[in-house]
Amino acid sequence: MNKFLALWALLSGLSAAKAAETCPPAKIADLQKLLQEKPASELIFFASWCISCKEHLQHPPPGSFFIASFDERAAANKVIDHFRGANEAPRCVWDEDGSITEHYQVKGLPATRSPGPPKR
Amino acid sequence: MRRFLLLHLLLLLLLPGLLLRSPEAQACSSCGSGGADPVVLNPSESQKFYLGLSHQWGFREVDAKGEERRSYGPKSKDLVELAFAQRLSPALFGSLVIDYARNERDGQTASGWGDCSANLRYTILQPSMLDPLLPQIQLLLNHRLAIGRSIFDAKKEHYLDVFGAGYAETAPGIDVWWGMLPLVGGASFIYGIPSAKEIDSGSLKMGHVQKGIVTVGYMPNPSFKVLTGVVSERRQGTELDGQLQPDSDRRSNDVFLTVETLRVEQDNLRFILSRKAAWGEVKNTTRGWSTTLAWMRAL
Repeated sequence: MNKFLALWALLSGLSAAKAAETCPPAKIADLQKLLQEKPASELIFFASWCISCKEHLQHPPPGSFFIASFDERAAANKVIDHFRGANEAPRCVWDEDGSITEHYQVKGLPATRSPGPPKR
Repeated sequence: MRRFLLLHLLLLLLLPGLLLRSPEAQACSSCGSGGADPVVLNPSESQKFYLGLSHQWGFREVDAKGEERRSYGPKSKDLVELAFAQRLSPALFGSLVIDYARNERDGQTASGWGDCSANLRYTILQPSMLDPLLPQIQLLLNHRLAIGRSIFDAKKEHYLDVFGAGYAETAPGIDVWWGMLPLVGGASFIYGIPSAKEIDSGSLKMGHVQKGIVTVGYMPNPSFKVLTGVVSERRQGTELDGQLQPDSDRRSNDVFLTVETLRVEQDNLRFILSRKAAWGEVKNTTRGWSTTLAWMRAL
């Protein structure tokens, strides 16, 4: 019985840790919903391997929304957590199926986009 | 010939102009060129087209004793190289490369398709901005198909109609690259295993080849890099019907200089100057100069 409780506690802990992820996975529809709930000033696309993205992560404009793209989920979360500092956790999603980068026509990094319709 | 050189010159003149306009820099400094395959995808790219123009000249044969002799073959060679790379998964991409060559000697020319190669690159370690000393590591697999006319079935004098190696070869390898700091560098190792070739006098098998490439470079900004490096190639001796042919092993040590733009969503250019069999112990090879100007476009 104790073993089952311990396992339940471990799994609960794991799912809680997953829920606390700074850049949870999202598709374009999820992002649009999030932006409707609370608008963003700018979308910043980044990846852990993108050395030029560092500047954008260190000094983002107020109200920025981060999108981890072309990257592994764990690596992207590690990077965003590294730059979050003591301030409020940044708003961020991990583009799980490439639909966000496709919607905003992002083909390289770093990239910034207006949260409105994609650039033409 | 003149038209080819003019096109070469035109692309070369465009290079500084393209360097000056760089609105959005490509972040992955570690990507863009491969020692074994000409087109390498950046992690954010899904497809890329490559067109390379090469001019090779000043050929001198180096014999089994390492002594230089006048070349019996073409005096110059022009190549148009076409390649296309396609991403197959976030960590894996493949590319196909084919070339069309034109050989020249004493005013006589011959043209034809060269060999075709299929390449795979699998990234096992991606670099991270949090640890710039962590390299990118990729596994490579290259297979060359012997499509072009080779020395074994040449019909023209001075091997004017030789455009391919004449035998297929499969080459696994590894590529390590540090590209997160302004000073960049890397190394590749490729081990080539050739297929046997049936010729009139029996079954010919070229020796296995070991190719090492060491590169260092400088990237003053994320949209431009200059690289220099050495390529060292050792091929074991040739076997005919299982009999090792004396003094048939080959050695070559080349040097190269590469200038390349790395701009996102735009045309990129690469210029390579190389000298084959330039230094150290060389044998059974051809010494010569080569320039390549390439245009790349991510789709």
